[in-house]
Amino acid sequence: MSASVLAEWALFLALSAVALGGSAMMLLTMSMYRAGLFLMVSFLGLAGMFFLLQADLLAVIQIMMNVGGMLVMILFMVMLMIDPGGEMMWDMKRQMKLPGPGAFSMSMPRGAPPVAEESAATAHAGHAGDAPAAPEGVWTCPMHSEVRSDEPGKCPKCGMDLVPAESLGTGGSQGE
Amino acid sequence: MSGPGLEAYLAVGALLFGIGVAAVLSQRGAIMVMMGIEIMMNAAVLNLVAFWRFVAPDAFDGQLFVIVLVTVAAVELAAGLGLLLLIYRQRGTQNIDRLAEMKG
Repeated sequence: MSASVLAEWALFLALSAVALGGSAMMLLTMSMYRAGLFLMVSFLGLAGMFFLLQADLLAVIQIMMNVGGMLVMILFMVMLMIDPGGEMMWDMKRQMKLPGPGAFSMSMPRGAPPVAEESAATAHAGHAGDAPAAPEGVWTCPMHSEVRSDEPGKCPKCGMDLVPAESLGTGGSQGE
Repeated sequence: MSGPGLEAYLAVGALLFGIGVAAVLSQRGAIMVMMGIEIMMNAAVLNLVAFWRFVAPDAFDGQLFVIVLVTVAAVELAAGLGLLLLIYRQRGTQNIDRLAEMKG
């Protein structure tokens, strides 16, 4: 076995470790910002593998399109929608369907999530780990979830009878 | 013994695809789902490049195919981001379980 073959194997293993490790960490981390950064690392590893496959043009395109695209994604979505320094990790924990792969992550926040401000008055004592529940006694339209009312009645948009918000299951107080 | 062959690259591509599927299935945030889709697309691209290199290195069809695929991925990202931004401004949420009006 010549030295160049050994070097190629070492390079291949290192790059695949970067690509696989980056995407695995993207799945395991509890922060959307870090998830985006790990995904960029994974794409860089993939671009290195394209170089190894002697597809130089594709490697450069991979870096420009995907890594640049992830940069835009982080800037626009994460910074715009989610408070990066705030309770983002708790938000992601609330959003997990099952415990999920992230439950085994070292950066998983422990304990019950802090109750968000807008739902502080409505969270049930025993359901602190669930998604923030709709306020008690709120009625909503089955077709227009933005319609909220304190009492039963007709939806102003479609005329349907309003139903209790909790019965729709969108508040997370019901089982999946 | 020679350098890493087709099977090694296909194994990495399969693992990447599996991670992407896990991300799509386990996350509720729409952004995380899109990230999982990106991982799956890149796994497919890796397979294409590996097949081009080891099966038909003389023809450039494989590389052209990859360029088309990367363009499609970028367009999908742009369209998805635009839709998500609009949905978030209207509803204040990006949780895909709350966007189920079409479920009937």
